[in-house]
Amino acid sequence: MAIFNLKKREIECKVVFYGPGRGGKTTNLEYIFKSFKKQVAGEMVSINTEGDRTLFFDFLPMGLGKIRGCDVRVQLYTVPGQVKYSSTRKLVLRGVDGIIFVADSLEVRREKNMLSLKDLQSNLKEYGKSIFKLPLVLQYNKRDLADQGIPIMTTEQMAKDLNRQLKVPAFPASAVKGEGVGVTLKECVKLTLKKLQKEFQWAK
Amino acid sequence: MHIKGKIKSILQEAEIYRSQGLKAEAIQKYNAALDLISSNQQLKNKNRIQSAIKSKLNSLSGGKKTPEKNGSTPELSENVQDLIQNLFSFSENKGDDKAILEGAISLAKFGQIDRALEELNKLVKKDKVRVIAAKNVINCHLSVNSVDGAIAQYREWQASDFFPAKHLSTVRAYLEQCLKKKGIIAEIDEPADTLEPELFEDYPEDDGEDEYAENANEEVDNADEGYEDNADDGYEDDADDDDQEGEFLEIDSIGITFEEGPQKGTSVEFDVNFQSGNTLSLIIPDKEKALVESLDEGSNLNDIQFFSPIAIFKGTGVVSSRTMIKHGPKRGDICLDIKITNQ
Ligand SMILES: Nc1nc2c(ncn2[C@@H]2O[C@H](COP(=O)(O)OP(=O)(O)OP(=O)(O)O)[C@@H](O)[C@H]2O)c(=O)[nH]1
Ligand SMILES: [Mg+2]
Repeated sequence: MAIFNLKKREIECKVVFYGPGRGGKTTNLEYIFKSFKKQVAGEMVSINTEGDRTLFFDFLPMGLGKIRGCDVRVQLYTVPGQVKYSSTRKLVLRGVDGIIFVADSLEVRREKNMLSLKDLQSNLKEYGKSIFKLPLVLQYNKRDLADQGIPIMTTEQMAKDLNRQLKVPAFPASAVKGEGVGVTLKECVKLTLKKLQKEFQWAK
Repeated sequence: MHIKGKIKSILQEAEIYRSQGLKAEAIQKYNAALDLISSNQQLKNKNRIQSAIKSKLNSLSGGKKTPEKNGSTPELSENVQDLIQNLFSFSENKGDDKAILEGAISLAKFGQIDRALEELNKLVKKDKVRVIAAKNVINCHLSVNSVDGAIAQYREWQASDFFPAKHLSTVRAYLEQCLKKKGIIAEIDEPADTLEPELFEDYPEDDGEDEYAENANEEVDNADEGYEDNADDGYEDDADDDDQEGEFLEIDSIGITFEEGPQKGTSVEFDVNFQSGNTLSLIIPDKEKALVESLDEGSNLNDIQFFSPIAIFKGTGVVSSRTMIKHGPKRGDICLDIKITNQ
């Protein structure tokens, strides 16, 4: 549901961080807010529960400047990952242009990753979109926990679980340390703009 | 020594899960540590460690008894409400009535009922969006269990001079229908008791009173399917609530390798038309009937490939029913139900 203003040569698109509860979506956004000062175009808004979990969404507007003569703005959102917030999660997903799926590398969260991906697929389907056609990037988050001896899955295992059919770009990351956050975002924005370019032909 | 190290590492794991808010996982690990400790007679300081773990467990399960403001959604600041109104109106022209309507409905979905009502009541004054806005005003009242509020609002419109009779009767019918759906038979002109309706279950369909309104409502319905009872949304529960999702993966299609009949040895792929738990229904068009000739009720399928959006896996199944469709557009087609027995 990108908004494209031909006259002003402006494009605004929506990228959503999706994934199981406690996987690190909000942490990703916080890191982006802190570290991409130049591109951040406003305050980060978080609507949380008392326990610091996302209740409705986090929101962060970014401006990427001119790309091929067009002013590109990207709105970043996170969904609430907890299963019980399914209706708000779906609402936040509406009109999405690109998705970053933040998977939790913890072994104990293996199934939650898969269920969340399935939830994403079915929510997209209800909006008439296919998970196979939308710009999508996976992130295997919390890699740093291996250093503390906590059982985490190998990236191969995670690729097998989540990316066997999708075959989309995937990045290991540690959102608390900021590792892998930037590349994940850049890849997703790149894919999203590429797709929009195909649709709107704005870069002619 | 060996056992001590093991306990230590389990506790460390539990501690990390706790710090990440993964309560269920933390509780499980603490319990695993307790089990290990109690099965070990020689351990020094056994009691002390046990009571330390138990107090951790208590604090973990104690936390769940604090629903936020008795389960209602928090009232957000005006700025954030403005943001929602703006971000969650999906029309291109942000200022037009349709966009305002969408924004107002989003506010309601995010539990900001007072603000939503404020916006919707402005729209009720406008001819083109009056009916749909009024219907959503009713939804708002019902979402906070206020049947009285909904009826009082209706009566206010009835008494007003800006609500044309034609619109009023549509809204009245809608209100009656909502109440009926919730099991309330109320004479709208009579006082009614407040009952507990299901909140925001959905924004029921428009009856096409006016084209613009209908379009707007369609959008709402699309966005809204599966909208859940709002009362739950304000809780910060224990992590267990992450466990409610169904156990069966959604399967899009299956590949059956035939062991008998003319197809013996070949594998054929079928789309799944419907899935209920572990039973998949396939509809085989009349002209492809020959493909499944060898499959009768009770036939075992020892080599099935299941294709889900997430993974492909192998398993077995049994044909639990085979029926010919006798009526409607699919007359003559075969409906096969396959129960997954192992995956
Ligand atoms: N060690 C480690 N912890 C992380 C990492 N990313 C997030 N966390 C922690 O995991 C917990 C949950 O992170 P959030 O960012 O709130 O997760 P979320 O996906 O937004 O969760 P919901 O809002 O409930 O959907 C927090 O305690 C974070 O500090 C990471 O890369 N490494
Ligand atoms: Mg979050």
